[in-house]
Amino acid sequence: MLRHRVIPVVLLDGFSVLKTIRFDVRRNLGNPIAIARIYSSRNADELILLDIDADRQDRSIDMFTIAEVAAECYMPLTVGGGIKSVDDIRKLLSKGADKVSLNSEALRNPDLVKEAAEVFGSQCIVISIDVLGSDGDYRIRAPKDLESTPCLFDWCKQAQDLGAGELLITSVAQDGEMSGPDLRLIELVSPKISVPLITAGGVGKAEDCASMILAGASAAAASSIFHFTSTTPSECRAELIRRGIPARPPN
Amino acid sequence: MIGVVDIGIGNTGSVTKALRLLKADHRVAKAPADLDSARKIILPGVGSFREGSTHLKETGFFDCLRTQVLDRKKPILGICLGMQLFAEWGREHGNSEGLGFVKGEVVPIEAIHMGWNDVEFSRADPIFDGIAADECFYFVHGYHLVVPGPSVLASTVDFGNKKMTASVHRENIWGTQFHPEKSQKPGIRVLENFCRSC
Repeated sequence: MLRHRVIPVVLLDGFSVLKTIRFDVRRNLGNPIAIARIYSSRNADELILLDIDADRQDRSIDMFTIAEVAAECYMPLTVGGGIKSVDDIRKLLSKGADKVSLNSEALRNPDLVKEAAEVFGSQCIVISIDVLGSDGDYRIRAPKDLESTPCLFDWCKQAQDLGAGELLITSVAQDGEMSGPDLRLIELVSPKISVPLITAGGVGKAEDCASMILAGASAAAASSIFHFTSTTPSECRAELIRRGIPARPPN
Repeated sequence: MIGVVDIGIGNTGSVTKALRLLKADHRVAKAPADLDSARKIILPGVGSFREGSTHLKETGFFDCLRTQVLDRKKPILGICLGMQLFAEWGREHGNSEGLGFVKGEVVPIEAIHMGWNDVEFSRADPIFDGIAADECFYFVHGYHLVVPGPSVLASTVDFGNKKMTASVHRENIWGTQFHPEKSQKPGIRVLENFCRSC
């Protein structure tokens, strides 16, 4: 039977890996290729690589970095950051990415999602949504140039209808805090969509991955826990299995 | 030397990267003549059956592969769409002709099967040597190969209350629906087994 996944997320500011807290404070962590190699050798289910400055700097995630990261990965790789066109996606897939993540440009131009899904297939298209707020009161964190932002739940459904194969929802308030995920957010989004839901933000211990999945996520994504603690993706999978959640066997 | 067929759809890079890791002598075959000196063949593929069938014919690989595999009996491993192209027919937007290496047809699944899943071995197969029964492989497909009987079915996978073909084997012909090059150690082992033992 299909397994639930634990997915490390690696953030880039162009060429270096970093980690944020609440999408603000940054800590620099080094070379994406070396980090990808470690995750692959640690038997991670997948890897998500996101350039968080690309859109704001009006560029797309660097092609050569992607090629070098993909060369280290013996598991599926999702990449995102400043992707604006079908051509951008084609180049990234040709460099070795298996899936692409669209965020800002999908909000500006929802038709891009539809076109990309038609050309490459839904399975290649992840829509990433950064969510502000907490305690049941949520709104989308959108690029500054966007005049109006859709309601979170409307956008989730619309993204799915346009052809997204997966949604990645990140809680900004919990980002980097390692104090536990926003389970209410997951409980509210999950029943509204039928495509797989990857959730991120706040994972501080292996049990948090299990909580996310029990709240309705298909996959638990995390970053700080793997950069700053000794917990590994495999140990998180062991915890999923301990809680009766199907996952790949731990190492 | 293993010839990795490039029919212009999908990414041969992920397969060749795994072969480099295994230190297996290989070359990307962009034209039929490139397979003359190949001792074994890998046919990777991502995309639609119709596109795959068209590309095989346009590049000349359609007839070439039938000769290399059915006449010259070279071992071949088809991956994902590559395996599906071994069927007689693909039923997506009309009918497209497959290589006919195995009896069967490729038809849609109700939903995309994407993620890690375990396979049930129907019988012993050299490509699964050394792989534990609970290991998982990475699948991503919206169509599946339906075979008429158990003779070529080497393993199955459960999805949506259905048992689907996970891999096939007949004589010198192997195919996996999953992506061994994206399935971490068990996947690399499948490729290693094909390279060394098949």
